Amino acid sequence: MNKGQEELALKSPPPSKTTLETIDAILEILKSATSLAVVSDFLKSRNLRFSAGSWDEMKQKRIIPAIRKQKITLADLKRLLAEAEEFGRSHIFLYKVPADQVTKFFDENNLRAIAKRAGLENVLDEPKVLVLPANPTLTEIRREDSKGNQSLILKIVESRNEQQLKDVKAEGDQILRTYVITKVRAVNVVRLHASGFLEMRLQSHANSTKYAADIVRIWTVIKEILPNRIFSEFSLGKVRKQLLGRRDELRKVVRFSDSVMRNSNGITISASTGEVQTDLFKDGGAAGDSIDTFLKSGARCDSTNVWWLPDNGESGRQIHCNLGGQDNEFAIPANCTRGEYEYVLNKIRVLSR
Amino acid sequence: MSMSLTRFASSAANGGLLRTRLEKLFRQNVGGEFTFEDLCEQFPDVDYQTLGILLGELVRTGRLKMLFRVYSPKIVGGGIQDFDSLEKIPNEIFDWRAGVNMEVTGEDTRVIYKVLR
Repeated sequence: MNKGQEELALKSPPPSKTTLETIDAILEILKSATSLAVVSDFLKSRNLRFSAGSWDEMKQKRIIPAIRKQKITLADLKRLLAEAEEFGRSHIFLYKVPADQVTKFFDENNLRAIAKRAGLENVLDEPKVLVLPANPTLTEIRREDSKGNQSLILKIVESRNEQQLKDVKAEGDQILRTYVITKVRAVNVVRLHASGFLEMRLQSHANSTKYAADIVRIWTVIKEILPNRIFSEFSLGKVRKQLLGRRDELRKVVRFSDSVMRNSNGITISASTGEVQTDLFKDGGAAGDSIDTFLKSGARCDSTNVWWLPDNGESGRQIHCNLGGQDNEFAIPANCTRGEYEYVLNKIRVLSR
Repeated sequence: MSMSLTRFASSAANGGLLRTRLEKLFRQNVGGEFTFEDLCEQFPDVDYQTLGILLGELVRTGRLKMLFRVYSPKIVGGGIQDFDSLEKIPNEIFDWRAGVNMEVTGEDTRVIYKVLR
């Protein structure tokens, strides 16, 4: 019996209404967060039929039969969703706390007791799938253990309004600008490492570079689990300094697009490339010499746009990263995979030592 | 009449000389970029009209490429994206240097001459 015949000869009962609604919600979110190819690859990795020309076909002919035959579970789909929407397109704020103050979060019983006290035990057992919640909502608390590195992950989903300029027209002595307001789903993730290192990943805004209000809101949503009073900001000043100061030895790791430096007299020097693919320091040394002279006079790097090059010089994507804004902030503006995100974060952490 | 002819002859002579000087500059800077203002500063003795006509010719013959570059309003001198024509520039684009959408105005756009050969 081939796979097609197997699907026609289903004997398992159809998925429940709740399961179907959850599948709908997950696919709706995946549709905007990733591509059909990613879902196909996931099914292929499970040795299942994977081709689909549309999202509807993917749901009806691939996902529902796979769930029905128990080849995949809703938990698998939720993990796929997490991989697709939790990395990239975000501003990341770093914090730290001594490791001994977070051990309780890595003990199963303690964590369950904390979640129960906060009335959040349900999201510890079963993540919620919300598309556009009315209020910022903690939808998931989960633990991960990657190569012995334990972490606690909290996922906060919220709805935001984004505005896009649609039209500009002159009418008489007035100029009229029309904006379209779109409600978008924003996924924010807080990851606490057993070492006491914490990342708060806030989905990027389309119309603002300021995240102070978002930080306060996210800390408020998770305060019953992780109180922000125990954390202090993890400075990235050293990273920006090392990036510029050690740029020659890092030239196979990172490429620069711009840097803004500021000294204590309030003087600012900015160096930028004209084109996205140009390397700021491949102009015969002129930009580098100017920057070095300014840095030697006591200036500090205020912000910089860099591209992390693929590891070991292998072909692959360069990951754009902005180190600016708050002292503990960096941003990855484009979507990226978990592997790409972890690569960049690791490089930043190494440079911060 | 004789005045006009004199001015025309002088302009043509200047144009020929300027063309030679421009070609020398571009030969030494293949892959480089210039704004109109860069070239005015480089050749302060020529009139803008002649310079403009010559640059137009060099664009038509494929020696130069004229592009419209949108700059980040937040990072001084940081180019965001290049366009072949003004009409192709959208009202709003993503400023990847600042991580935010920006409304494009004439203030953020400059004409760049890129030396192709």
